[in-house]
Amino acid sequence: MKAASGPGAVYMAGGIDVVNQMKSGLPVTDVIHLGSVVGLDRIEETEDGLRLGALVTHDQLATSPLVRARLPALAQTWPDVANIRIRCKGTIGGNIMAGEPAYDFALAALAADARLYFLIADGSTRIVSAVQADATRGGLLTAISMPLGGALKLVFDRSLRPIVTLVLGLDFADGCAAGGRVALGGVYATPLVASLPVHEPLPPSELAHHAERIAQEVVTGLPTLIGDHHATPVYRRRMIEVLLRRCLSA
Amino acid sequence: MDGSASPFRAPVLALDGPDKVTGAARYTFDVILPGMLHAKVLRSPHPHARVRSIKTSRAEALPGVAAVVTGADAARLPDPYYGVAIRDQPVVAIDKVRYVGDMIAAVAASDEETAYRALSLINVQYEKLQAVTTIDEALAEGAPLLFETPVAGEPVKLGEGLISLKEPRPNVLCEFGYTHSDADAVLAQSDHVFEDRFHFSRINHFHLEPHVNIARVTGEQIELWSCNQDPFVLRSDIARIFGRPANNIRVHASYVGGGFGGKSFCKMEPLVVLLAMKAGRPVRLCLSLDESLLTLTKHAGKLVLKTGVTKDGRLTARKSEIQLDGGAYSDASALTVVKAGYRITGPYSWDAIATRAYAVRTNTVPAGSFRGFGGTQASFASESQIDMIARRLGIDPYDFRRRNLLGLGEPFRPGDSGIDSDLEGGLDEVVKRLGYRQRVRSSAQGVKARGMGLGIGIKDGGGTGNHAQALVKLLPSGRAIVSAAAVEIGQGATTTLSRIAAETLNLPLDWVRYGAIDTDSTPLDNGTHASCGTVVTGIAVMRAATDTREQVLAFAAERLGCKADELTLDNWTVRRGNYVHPLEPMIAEHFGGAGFEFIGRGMVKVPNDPKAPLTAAALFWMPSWIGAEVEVDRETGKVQVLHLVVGADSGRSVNALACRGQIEGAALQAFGQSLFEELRYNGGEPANATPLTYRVPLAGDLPERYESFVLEQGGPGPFGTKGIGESGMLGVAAAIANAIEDAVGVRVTQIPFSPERVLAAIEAAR
Amino acid sequence: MTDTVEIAVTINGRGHRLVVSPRRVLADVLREDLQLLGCKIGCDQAVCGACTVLVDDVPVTACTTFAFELDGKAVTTIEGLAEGGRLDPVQRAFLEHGAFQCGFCTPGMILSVKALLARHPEPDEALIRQWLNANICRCTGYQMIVEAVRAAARTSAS
Repeated sequence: MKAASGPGAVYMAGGIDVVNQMKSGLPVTDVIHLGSVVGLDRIEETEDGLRLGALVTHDQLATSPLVRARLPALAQTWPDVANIRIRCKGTIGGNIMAGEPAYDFALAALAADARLYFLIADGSTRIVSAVQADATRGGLLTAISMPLGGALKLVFDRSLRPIVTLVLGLDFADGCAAGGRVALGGVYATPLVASLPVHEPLPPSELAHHAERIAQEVVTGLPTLIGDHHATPVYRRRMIEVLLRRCLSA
Repeated sequence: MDGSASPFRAPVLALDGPDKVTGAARYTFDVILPGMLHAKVLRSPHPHARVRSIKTSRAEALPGVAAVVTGADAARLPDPYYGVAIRDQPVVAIDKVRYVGDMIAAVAASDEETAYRALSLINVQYEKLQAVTTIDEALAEGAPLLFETPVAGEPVKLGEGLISLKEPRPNVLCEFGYTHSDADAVLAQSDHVFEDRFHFSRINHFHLEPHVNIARVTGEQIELWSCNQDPFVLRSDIARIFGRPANNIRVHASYVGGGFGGKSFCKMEPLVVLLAMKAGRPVRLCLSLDESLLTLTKHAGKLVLKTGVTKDGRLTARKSEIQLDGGAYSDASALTVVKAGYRITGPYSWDAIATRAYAVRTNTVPAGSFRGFGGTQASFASESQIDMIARRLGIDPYDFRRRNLLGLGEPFRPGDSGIDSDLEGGLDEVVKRLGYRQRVRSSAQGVKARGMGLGIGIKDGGGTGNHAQALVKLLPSGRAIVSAAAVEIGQGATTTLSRIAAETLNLPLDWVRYGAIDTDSTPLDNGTHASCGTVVTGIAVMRAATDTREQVLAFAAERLGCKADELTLDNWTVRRGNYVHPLEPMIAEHFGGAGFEFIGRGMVKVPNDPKAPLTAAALFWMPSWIGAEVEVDRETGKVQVLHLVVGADSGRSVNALACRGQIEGAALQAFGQSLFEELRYNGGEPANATPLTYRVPLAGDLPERYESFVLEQGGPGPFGTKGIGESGMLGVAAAIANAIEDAVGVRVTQIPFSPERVLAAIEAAR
Repeated sequence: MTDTVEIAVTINGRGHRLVVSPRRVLADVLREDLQLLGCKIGCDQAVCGACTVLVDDVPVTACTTFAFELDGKAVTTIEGLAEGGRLDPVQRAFLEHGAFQCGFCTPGMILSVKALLARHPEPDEALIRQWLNANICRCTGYQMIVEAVRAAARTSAS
C-alpha cells in the first residue's frame, strides 16, 4: 500500500514523530495508520528470544511481566523513559524508525544486537541485525527480537541525559562475558554503537578489572562527537569513558 | 506584632479555585469575538539587518487574508515606540531588525493556517549588518550600533546624588550610579580586598498561556482583551501610540495563565490594534510558546564585585560593576538596571559603597522584567561572594553573615526605610531545618561529596512610590464586589483582596466577589508586579471597604435615629447595644425598587521622599532565606540537590496556601536556572528556543526534600501583611553554589552549574 | 488525503457523530466544535501536557491527537469529572491543598492524576513525581500538587 501511495506517504504508529514532522513542514499526502493492524503488538518468547511486536508501546514494555522476568534491566529502566503520555502512545517500532539520536529503545536494540524483522513489498520477511549499517532501510518493521537464555545482560545509564545516554549489552557464554556492544545516545547525529573490545571470555568478577581499559579503547575508536548547548564534544567523550567504566564494574 | 490577633488564622480555599479545577476558568486565550480574525507574525531570521523593502501584495491577495501590516503602517502612527522610561521598540520593525525573532510584519486572516501561508508570501529584502550578540562584542571599539540616533524617553528619575543616564555610550541603553562615602579610600584601608566576577544566565518566563491579545476598533474606540499584567499602563501606552484620548481605549483583563513579569508593560498589543484597524474587524493574535520564548527574557549579565573586609570578618566597602545584557530593545531594562545596582549590597551593613550598573544593547531577545528583577542577579553575585570571603578568612559562612547582617530598623541604605524583618531569625530557621550544624565533612577521596550552603536574599518590596485605587460595592443583599485592577496571574490576588474586604466589612468570604477588570469601570492600578498587590492594592481595597462601611453605618444611623459610632456592622446587620437590625429590609423600605448600592472608594500613594535614594523609601523589605544540601559527583560534575529549604516573610499571611505556593514556585524557577534552565545562543541564533529544547523544571527534577517556611514578622499592608511573590527567587543560586563549595572545595561563579562547568572547576583546582 | 472522515466518539459520556478533516486535532474539536474550553493549549507540541485529556482512560495530548484516531473511543475532559456540581476527589484535593495558581496547566494536570490513581491507587511520592513529568507547571513548584495527589489517593481509598 505504501509503495502505491507515492513519496508523500508515511506510516504512523503512535504518531508522535509523524505529527512533529508534519508540524515542521514535512509534505505528507497520505498517512497509513498502523494502529488498527492486528497482531503487531504482541510480546512473546520464541526460539529467537524475546520477540516484541513493532507496535508494542513503551508502556506495554514497561509493565509486561514477561519483560520483567526476561530483561529485568529494561523493565526497571522503562518507567523513567520520556513520560507516561509518550509511553502510552509511542511504540518501540516508531522509536527505532524515527532515527533520533537519543531515543531509548533504539539504543537498547543496538546494545542487545536485536534482530529486526521487516515485511517487504513482495510479502517476504527481511531479518537484519540492529547494528548493521542501514538496517532500517526498506520495508515495514514488524518485530524486534532480543536474545535471551542468560545470553544477554543489559545495563542502562541515563544519569547524564541529555548529554549522553549509555546502554551496555554484554553477551554471555558459559557465565563469562565474551563480548558485547555499547550504544550511545545524544552524542552523535544518530545513535552510535561500538563493539566492546573483550579479547577473552571474562567472568563477571574480572570484568571490573578490565573496565578502564575497555572504556578507553571504546572511546578512542569513536568518531567526532557533537557539541551543543548542553555540553562540548570533549566532555561527552570523557563522560562516555566514565559511565562505561562504571557500568562494566557494576 | 502578635500573630494571634490576626483575623486570618482560618484557612481559606481560593475563590478562583472552583473555576480552575473544573475547567470553567476563562483566560484571554479563550476569548472569542464574532467575526474575529486570526493573526500571525513574520519574524526576522537575521540578528541585525536593515529592511530594504517589504512586498506584501501576494500575501494580501491570498483568499482569506483581511490585512497585512508592516513598518510603513507603524511609521504613520503618532508615536510608534514603546518601552519603560526609554522607548525604543517599534510597534513593528520600521527600518531595521535587531534580533532573530524581531517582528517585521503581521497578517490577519480568516484562520491561522491561512495567516501562516500568507506570511510565506511576504517578500522581505534585508541588508544584513554585522551583529553584536554578547556584552563584550557590543562594547568593543568600533562595534556596529543597534541605534544610530538617540531614542525617545528619559532616564529613570532617582534621588539626589545618584546617577541615571540614558544612552551614555554606544550600545549602552542606560546607566545607574550610586555612591555612599568613599569606597576607594575605605578599600585601600581594609585588611583584605577581594575581587570576584560572576556570570548570570538568560532564562525565559515560560508561562504556559502564551502572549495572547484580541483587539477591536470601532470608530473612535479601541478595545483590547489582553493577557497583560498592567491594563492601565497598557491603556496609556495605546493612547500615546495611536494619539487617542485614553477614555476611548478600553482594556479587559481575564485570568492570566502565568506572567512572572513576561506580560508586564507594552509588548505586541499595539500591533494587534493596528491589524484590527486595518482589517476593520476584531483580530486575535496568539503567539506560540516558541514565539513567547523570543519575546522577552530575564537579563543575563556580568557582575564584578570588589569587596573589602577586616581581618575579623567585618564588611567595609563594596565597589561593583554590573553589566546587564538588555537585548535588542529597552522593555524594562531601565528599571532592572536600577534595581540590580541598588540591591547589590544585600542585607548587610557597609561603610562605603560605589556601584555602577548599566544595560548593554545586543542583537538578542529583549530582556525585561522577570520576577524579582535585578535582585536575582544581584543576590547571586553578592551571596556567592559573601561565602567565598568567609571561607577565605576561615570563618563559618553562618557566623560571617551574622556578624554583618542589618538589624531590625536599620536602614537598607542611608535615606531608605529600615529593615522590617528579623533577618537572623530567618537564617536560624534555615539552619535548623537544613541540619546545617550536623553536617558531615565528605572524604576527599570519594566519588561523591556532600555539602551545605546558605543564602539570604533581599529586595525592596511593593514598587517605588507606588499607588493604587479601589472601589468596594455593597449590594442590597450584602453581597460585595471588589473592584481593583490587580490582575490574577496565579498569585492569589482574587482571594487576598476579597478577604481583606470581607474582614473589613465583617462579611463571610464567599459573599465577596473580585470583579472583572475593565479599565472603563475598574479603578486604576499601577501594575501587577513588584509584589505590590497584597500591600498597595490591598491598602486601597481596605480603605475602600472602610469607606463603604462608614457609609452603611451612616445610613443605618439615620434610619435608626442614632449616632453612627453606636453601631457596628456584622454579617450585613447593624448592632446597637443588644439589638440587631438587618440591613436588607432597611434598604428595601427606604429605597424600594432596585434598592441601593453602597460604593466605597479608597486609594493609596506611597509618599515620595527626596532623601530616599530611589525617590521613595521602600514600603517593606522582602528577605528570603535559603539552605541547600547537595551531592556532587567528582567524576562527572553532576550536582544533585538533596534538600532545599526556602523561607520568606509574609508579614501576616492572608492566604497561607498562596504564600507557600508563591515561595515554592519562585524558588523552583530559581533552582532550575541554577542547574540547567537557560536560553542559549549560537552567535545571533537562539539555540534552544522551542518547548522541546528549552528545559524547565519538571516534577521529577524536585530536590529529594523540598520545604518552605513563612515567618510572619509584620508589614505595612492590611492587618500587617507584606508581599511575598518574588521572595523565593532570591539567593537560591548562591546557596547552591555555596553548597557545592562546601562539598568539593571549588567555586562556580557562572550559572547554570552544568556538570561540565562544575567538573572544569574541580579539575582547575587540582 | 480524503476530504473528511466520519467518527463516532463518546465525550464525557455523550455520543457524538462528527465529520472532520483528517488533519484536524482533538484540541480543536473540543474547543471549537464542542465549546469545551477547559482543554488549554500551551506549547502545541505535546511537551507541556496542558491539553491532556483521557482517551479510553489513557492520558494523551489533545494538540497532537488526530480526531480520526478517536473513532469508537471515549474521551474524558475536565468538564466531565464533576457530577451534578459535586467535585471529583482529585478536584477537591487540588482545591483544598492549593495545588494550582494560574490554573492554565490544572485541567490537564488533574486528568493526568486521574489516570495515575486509576492505575496506582496508592502511589508513593517517587511515583507521583515520575508520573507528573508529563505535565509542566510553572507556578507551583510541584510539591503542593504532590501533596494533593496523596490526599486524593487517601480519600479515594476510604
